[in-house]
Amino acid sequence: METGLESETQASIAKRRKEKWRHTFTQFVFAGLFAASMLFPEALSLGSGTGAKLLSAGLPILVLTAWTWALVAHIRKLEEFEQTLAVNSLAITFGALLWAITCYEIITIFWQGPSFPAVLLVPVAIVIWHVIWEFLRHRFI
Amino acid sequence: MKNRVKELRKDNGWTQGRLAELLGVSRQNIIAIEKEKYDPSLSLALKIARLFSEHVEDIFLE
Repeated sequence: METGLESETQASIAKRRKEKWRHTFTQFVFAGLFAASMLFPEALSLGSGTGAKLLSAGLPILVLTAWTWALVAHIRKLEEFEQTLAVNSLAITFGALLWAITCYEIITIFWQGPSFPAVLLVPVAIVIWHVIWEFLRHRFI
Repeated sequence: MKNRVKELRKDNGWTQGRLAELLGVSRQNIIAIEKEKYDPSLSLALKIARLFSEHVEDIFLE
């Protein structure tokens, strides 16, 4: 079947794949760090003092801020088409997450279920973002 | 939006990779433009027009 597509040079394939894997790896490192920073105070039984509270809240906030900063830095480096994919998929991801978590929380008000585990927030966002990014890429090309 | 990018590229004997290189964008960008699934930014459209020595409106058609 004629696709009209030419083959990419080996060097550019390797460079693109390397960059993609580096980015994916970084994202999952952030996901792990966020989950660890949320679980760490409980695991170490830090107690309920002001210092412990500051540390317990500060660490996840710090990781979340670093993740956001890394995300923005990565998106700014992308060329326009990749940037469009990244921004569109990010918007869909956050929209979907907002909808899903709000629905979940509303349901728990009436059925007394557990609140959405915040520890899963960043890992779930990253997984959804990458899935949607790949889906959009395949739709465009 | 319809465009003549593929036709002009082939007239010049360039591959998608070469055109991407000349424009400083990814090859995926060129594929998406040629398939008319993605409209380039104004600055990229101007770059494409300059590269092919054509007017933007003669490359990107309504």
